[in-house]
Amino acid sequence: MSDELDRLIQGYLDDALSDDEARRLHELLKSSPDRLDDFIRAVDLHGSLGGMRSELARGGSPAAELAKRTRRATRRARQAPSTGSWVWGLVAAGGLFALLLFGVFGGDSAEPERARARDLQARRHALERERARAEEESRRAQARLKEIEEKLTPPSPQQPKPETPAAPKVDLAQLQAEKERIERELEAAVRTERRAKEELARIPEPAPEPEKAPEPPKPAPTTSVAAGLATLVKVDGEVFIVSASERTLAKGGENLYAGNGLAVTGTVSFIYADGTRVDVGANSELRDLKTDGGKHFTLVRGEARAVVAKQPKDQPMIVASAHAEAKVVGTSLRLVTEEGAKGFTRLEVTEGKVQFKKLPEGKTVDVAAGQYAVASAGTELAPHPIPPVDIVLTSGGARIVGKDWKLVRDSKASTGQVLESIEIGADDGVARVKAGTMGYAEWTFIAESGRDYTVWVRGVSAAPSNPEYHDAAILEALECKVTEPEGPWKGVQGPQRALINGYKRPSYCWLGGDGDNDREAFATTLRFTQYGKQTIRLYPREGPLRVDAIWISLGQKARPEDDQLGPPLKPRK
Amino acid sequence: MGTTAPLTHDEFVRRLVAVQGLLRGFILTHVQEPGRAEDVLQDVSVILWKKLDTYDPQRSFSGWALGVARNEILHARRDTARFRIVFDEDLLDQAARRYEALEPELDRRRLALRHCVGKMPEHYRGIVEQRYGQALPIAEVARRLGKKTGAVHMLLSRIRQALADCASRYLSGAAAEVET
Repeated sequence: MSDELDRLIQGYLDDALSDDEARRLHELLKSSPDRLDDFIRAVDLHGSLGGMRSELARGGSPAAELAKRTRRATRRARQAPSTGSWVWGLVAAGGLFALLLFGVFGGDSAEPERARARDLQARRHALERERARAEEESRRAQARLKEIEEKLTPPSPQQPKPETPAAPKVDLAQLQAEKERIERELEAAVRTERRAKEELARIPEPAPEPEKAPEPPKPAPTTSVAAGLATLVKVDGEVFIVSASERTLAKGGENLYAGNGLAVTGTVSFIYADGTRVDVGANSELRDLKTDGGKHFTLVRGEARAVVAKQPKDQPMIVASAHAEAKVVGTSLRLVTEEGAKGFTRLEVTEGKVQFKKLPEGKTVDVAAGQYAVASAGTELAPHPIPPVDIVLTSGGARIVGKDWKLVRDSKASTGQVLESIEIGADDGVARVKAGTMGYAEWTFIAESGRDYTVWVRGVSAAPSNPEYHDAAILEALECKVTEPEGPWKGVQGPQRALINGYKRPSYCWLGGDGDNDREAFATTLRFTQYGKQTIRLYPREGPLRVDAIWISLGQKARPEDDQLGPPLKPRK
Repeated sequence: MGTTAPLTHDEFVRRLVAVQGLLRGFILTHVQEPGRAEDVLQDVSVILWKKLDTYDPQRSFSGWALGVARNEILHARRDTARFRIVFDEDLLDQAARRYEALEPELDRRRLALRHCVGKMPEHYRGIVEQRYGQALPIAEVARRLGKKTGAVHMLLSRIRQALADCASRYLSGAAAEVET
C-alpha cells in the first residue's frame, strides 16, 4: 500500500480528512480493486475493534475475558480450582526451554545418559500437562459453545413468526463475537493437544527403574473430547448429527463418535484430535465416521474439503463415495459427489498426493497437487490438470470460416478489434444455419467435463437504426450439453445450440442467452462431455452484430457489468 | 420474491449472527464512526427481519444482507448531518461486491485480530480502550490524555497498523506479537 493511501485511509477512519483528501481517497479507491481491498481490510479491522467494545471496555483481553467467563460457567462442574493459563504458559515455555537447551548443549556422546533421560522425562511431563490443559480448555470451550447455541435458539422451533417484528437487537454482536472466539479457542486447544501428542510419540518411553515395581497403567482420560473422534468447531445453518437411533440438531463444540454421520443444509467443520480438518459444504451428507485403522467417512452427496495432517502410512485417511475412494496420507483436497444414475465423484487436490480408486472395478490413479479426477460410470479414470475457472475468448483468437464474419477495428472493444457479422434477417439467418451454409467463428480452449460453465457474449448491434432486429447470434458447442435459460426460444435452435439475442443498448454489453423481455440476466450453461480441448462456434442470426469477447466461466454466475472485460484480477478459488 | 419456504426465526437469527461482522465492516466503509455504524447496523437488522419474506433461501444470505445494508446507507445519505458519506453509489456497489468476495479472508483476520489484541502492550491498550472500548471521539481521548488530536490520530494509526501486521503474521503462521 502506498504511503499516501495509508495516510488517507487512517485519516478516514478517524474522520480526519479534509474535503480534498476525501475526494483524493475516493479517486484512489475507484482506480484500483487492490486499493479498495486494502481499504476494506483496514475498515474491517477498525470495525472489529469497535465490535470488541465490551471486552475492551472491561479492560481485559478477549482471551482473559474468555477464561473468566468459562471459569464462571464451569465452576460447579470442576473438581478442583483450575490453574491460570499463564501458569500453564510458563510450564509449557519451561518445557520448551529445556528442550532447546538440550538441542544446543546436549545430545552428544559426552552427555551422561542419565541427564539425557532426565531432560526427556521433564519434557514428557511438560507435554503431558500441556495435553491435559488443552483437553480441559477444549471441554470448557465446548460447554460454553453449547450455552451460546442455547441462547441463540428460541424456546420453540415450531413457533410461528410473530406478527410484530421483534428484531434480535440484544447482544447479537457480543454473542457472535464470543462464539467466534470460543470456536477459535477450541480449535487452538485441539491443535495444542495434537502437537503435544505428536511430540510425546517421538519421545521414547522411559525405561522402568529395575528396583521399583512398574506403575500400573493410567486409565484413559474420561473427558468428552477423548471419547469423541472429532469435534464440531463451526456450525452454520441447519446441521444434524445422525446416528443409528436418532438425528439431533448439531451445535458447535459437540463431539462426533464412531458410526455417526452428518446431514448438512448449511455448512459445518469438524476437527480430529490430530488437527485434520474437514469442511462440509451445503446440502451434503456424510456417513460412517470412524477412526479404527485410520480415519474414514463416506460422502453420500455434496462436498467436503479436507486439510489432512500427516497420517501414519499404514493408516491413511479414506474418504469414500458410491463411485470412488480417496486414500490420503496428508494433503489438502476437495471431494464432490452426486447421487443417481448420472452420479459422479470428483476429487481435486491442492496439496500433496491422493490415491483415488474407482469403485466397483478398483482401478486406481494418483492425483497430485493441481490435478483432479472424476469417477463415474462410463468415463475413464485419469488425473487431469485443473483448468482455469474463467476462459475469455477474444475476437482476434477466433478462426473465421466462410464470409459471414469479418474482423474490424473498434476502439470501444476490449482488444481494439471485433467480429462483425453480415447484415441478415432472422429468417434467412436461421435457415442458413440449419442448412449448414452459414459461416462461423470458431474458438478452441481447454475446459473440464461434467461441470456447468456459464457463457457470456459481449456485443453490440452495428445497425444504424432498429438494433432490435440486428442483434442475435447462435452459439454452438461441440461434444457438449447446452442448456438455454427458460424462455420462448429455449431449444428452438437445435441441440448443442443457444440463442444469444437482445443487444438493444447503444454500447457493448454482456448477454448469456435470449435477453429480450427483461431476460438479459439469464445465462446459457455448457457442460462438456470430455475433459480437454473444447470447441465452440458462433453463427450470425440477425446482423450486423459486433462481438467483442466470449466469457466462459465456472464462477461468473451473474451477468457481468457492461464495462467488465473479464474475471477479477485475483484468481477465483 | 422468495421462491421457497422462508427461513424460520431460529435460522434467521443464526444467519444474522453469522454476518454481523461482515455487515459492520461494510457499514463502516461508509460511516466512519463506530458508534454511528452500530446504529445503522441495528437499523439494517430490523429491516432484514421485516423483509425476511422477500429473501429467497436458495440465494446467499450475506449477499442479500449486503444489498439491504447498501440501500440503508443510501437512504441515510439524505441525513448528511448524521454521517459524512464520502463515496458515490458506484463505489458503494463495488465495495459491497468486494466485501462479499473477501468475506472468508476477513473472517480469518478478525479471529487473528482477537489474538493480537490480547498481545497488545499496555501503553497501546489504554488508548484503544478509550477509543474503541468506550467509543470516545478522538477529541475526547486527546483531552483525557492531555495530547493534541493530531497526536492521538497518529498514535491510533500506528496501533491499527501494528495490529494489522500482527494479524497478517498470525495468519501466515509466524509468531504474532504487536510491535511497538
